[in-house]
Amino acid sequence: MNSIGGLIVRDIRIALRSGGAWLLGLVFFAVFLSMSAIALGGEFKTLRPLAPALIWLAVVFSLLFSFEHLFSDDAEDGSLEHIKLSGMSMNAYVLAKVCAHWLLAILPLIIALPLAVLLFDLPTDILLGLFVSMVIASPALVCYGAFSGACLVGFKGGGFLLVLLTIPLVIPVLIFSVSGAVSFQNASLFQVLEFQALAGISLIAAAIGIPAAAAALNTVME
Amino acid sequence: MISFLANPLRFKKFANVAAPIFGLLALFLIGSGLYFGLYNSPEDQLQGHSVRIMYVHVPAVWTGMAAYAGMAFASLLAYIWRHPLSDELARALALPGAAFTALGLITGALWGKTSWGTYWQWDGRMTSTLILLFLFIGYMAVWAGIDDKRRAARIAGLVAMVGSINLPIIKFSVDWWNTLHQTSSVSMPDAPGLPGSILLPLMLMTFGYTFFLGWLVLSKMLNKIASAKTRRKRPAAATTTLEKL
Repeated sequence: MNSIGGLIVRDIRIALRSGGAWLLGLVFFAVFLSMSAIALGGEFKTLRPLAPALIWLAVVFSLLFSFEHLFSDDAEDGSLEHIKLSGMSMNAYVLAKVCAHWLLAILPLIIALPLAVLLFDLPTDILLGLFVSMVIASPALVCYGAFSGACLVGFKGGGFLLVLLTIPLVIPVLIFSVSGAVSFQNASLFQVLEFQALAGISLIAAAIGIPAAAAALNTVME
Repeated sequence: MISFLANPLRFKKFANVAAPIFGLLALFLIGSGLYFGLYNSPEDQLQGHSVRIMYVHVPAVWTGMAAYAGMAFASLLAYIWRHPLSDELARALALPGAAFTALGLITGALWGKTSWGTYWQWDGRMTSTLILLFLFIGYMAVWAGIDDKRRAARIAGLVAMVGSINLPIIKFSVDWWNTLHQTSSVSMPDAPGLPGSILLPLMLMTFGYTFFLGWLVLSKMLNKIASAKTRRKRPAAATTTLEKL
């Protein structure tokens, strides 16, 4: 348990000293949303019904590009071997990385949600729906992304393949999140069927993604 | 059966016999299926001759899905027992599976144009078939992109297995999404009501496609075994006595 906490602190410290590179996901999120608004003509009347889907797409793509370096930095500088030699299980290591990545990549997006909602002049109900759907669905996104990232350690030009590998796994998350965020307006939290499905998907993703990512990382050192 | 064929020599003997048989069976079944399907079966009351696309379309999607299931199962075997033949089986299934899925999508689009008036509809089945094609492409891209073949096999196997666990979730979510948003009702001809004159060519084609897949996979694996052997072939022996061994 201690070592997991230590790894999380180490990852956050590395990110904070990297000169702000961890914030680029947030910048991408903002750029993606403004580009969509510009491409769609900038009328609130046309943008409002599309906004939840656009915000979710921005979240998914901003995350997808962040997984490329989740494990590859550790694999290149040799810390992965050291962690393996220290006797720490790969599952615990992946869990620590996933938690740190949630704090570094997803938490800023969740905090930025009110600003994104402002861009599209959305009602508060939808903001709440988006907020809840992101909190519930984010474990699934991080776990599947970690699996793809672990598969492509040492793979040259992995960015596109990472998107290709992760997208099919993330499609259910996208479907349930967008429609959950919209149908949240006139129901209480536990009545929304989509959020129940999302919670299930997140649990399955954690149960599959973390061990599969650990297995993929073990092949690097075989 | 699996442990019997796990021995590469026995597998080679089996495949040397089975591959040509599968190929001939596929030729015969697809040939007769095409004859019954294209000439010797009734037109549909509403769709006319365009219903004949079904005999190419439906077996293609079935075979594509069967290829993915086989790929995931072979990957599981390879993951547990680390058997190279199993890896080769999974890899050999990927390209034909993707091709069958793509054929199903293309013929489906043509059929859709004649009977629904549109090439594409974001219908639950079509969307999940498209995602299946993406899964196949991702699997093949992993094989192509990782240089160390042993590692590529391991990673590709993981990708296939994780994908197969997720396929039911994807299918469920897409169907659910579709029923929620569907504006025009689109349905496929369902199997229970099919008369024998339509069922016969459909079944002939399905078995024909399956044997065709078997022929492709076995020949590809035989190729792989042969090329692995030439790579490992030792230089000619220095003494003559060893040759008798």
